[in-house]
Amino acid sequence: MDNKTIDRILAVVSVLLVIGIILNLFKQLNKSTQTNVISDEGLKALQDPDKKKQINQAIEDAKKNQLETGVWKDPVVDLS
Amino acid sequence: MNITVGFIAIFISVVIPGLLFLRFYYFGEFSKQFTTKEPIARSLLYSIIPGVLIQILGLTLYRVQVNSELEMSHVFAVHHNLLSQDNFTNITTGFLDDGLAEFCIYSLCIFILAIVLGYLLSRVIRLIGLDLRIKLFRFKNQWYYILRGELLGFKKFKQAVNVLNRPDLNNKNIDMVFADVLINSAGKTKLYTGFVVDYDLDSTDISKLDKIYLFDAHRYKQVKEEDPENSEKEITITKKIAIPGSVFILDVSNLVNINLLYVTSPRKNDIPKINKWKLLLVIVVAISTLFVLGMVFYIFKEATWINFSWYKSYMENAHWYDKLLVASIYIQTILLLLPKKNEKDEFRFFYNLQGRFIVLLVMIALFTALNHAWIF
Repeated sequence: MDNKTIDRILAVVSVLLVIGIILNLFKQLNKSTQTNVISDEGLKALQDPDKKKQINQAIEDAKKNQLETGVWKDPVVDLS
Repeated sequence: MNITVGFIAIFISVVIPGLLFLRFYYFGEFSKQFTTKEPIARSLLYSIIPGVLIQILGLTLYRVQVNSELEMSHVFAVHHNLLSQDNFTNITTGFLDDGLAEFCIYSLCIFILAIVLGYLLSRVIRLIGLDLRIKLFRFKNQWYYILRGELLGFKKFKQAVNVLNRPDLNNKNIDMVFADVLINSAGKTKLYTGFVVDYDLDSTDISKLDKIYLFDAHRYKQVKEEDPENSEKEITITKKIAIPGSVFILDVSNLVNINLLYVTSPRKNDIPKINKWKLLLVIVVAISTLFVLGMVFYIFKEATWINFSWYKSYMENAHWYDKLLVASIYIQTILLLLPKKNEKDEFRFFYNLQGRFIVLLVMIALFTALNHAWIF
């Protein structure tokens, strides 16, 4: 096979690769710019009784903390 | 409005690309900003500016890559001639005889360009948070920013964070929002609570909320009970009552007020550190990708947008394995710039650099060996 034929085969493979990369980029971009009000982790956590208990507890603690200190701090829950 | 050939030409050249751009620019929760319910005259008007800009970009790309002899004055002359419906000049007749098929293919490419630009522009704006920093780029859906907690990233809120010394308010990585919603129903106020999972905007006025979808919804009800201290007396107490069901859809067209409570996740607090580098990274990757795309493109046709003699000379003379290695070295170098997660699930730049760096060194060594065997 001469140089030009190999070049052309490589070009076709590269074009397919570039199309694959672009499609993957679009997929990643879609994922990174989702406009859901609640995150996927949040939605999963609400279905999990243990996690939901933790979330409710964190909310109650935040409210209690505000009553005691007068300062509001958003509840932090590890959803992973 | 008379539908003439000129009007159709302008419609295809400017209005359709503009409409396609807008349709793909407003996505997801922002799609209500551009709908088919909009008055036609307004939609057409709003499509003209992006349509003209896309045409300028498309024509420039066309002249650079396909037909460098195309004169812009001819493009305007044909449009003017078609619009005025005078006797067709030689340029217009020539275009109608020979250039119509090319114009159709060109228009199709412009439509695709409009879709890609609309899709990419809005998502890049969201990705790097330009809509939070600059009001001009902000989408007209204040309820999304409020319910997602992104309003805490607005300039005004950031100033408040500094003044009040409340770093917790600056957290943009919110997983869910818990809401206390007070509505007016038949002259009486009613209070509901729950986790907000979705919402609907009023179709006639997108600045107003119409419905809220709640998970784990509760309502507050005032009930009269016997006073435990005095059995003859009744007292009114407020009870929190669970609303059984999967999702509770609350009509909030008569919203009195709403109290939101953002629930955050600690592992996400690390991600904003990447944002500082995102823009720089996007620019570096975009410029260098153009060069690699040029490499691929070169095999089919000369990439005239890369006007460096050394690049042309290299592309014409280099061996295929040489080009393959250069592309691999490029990809490996770009990978070095990308952040990676460590054992603690935190994003870090230059994390576990050794592996990638060794692969890069091996590639450079191979490249040197293949091209400069005389060294050995």
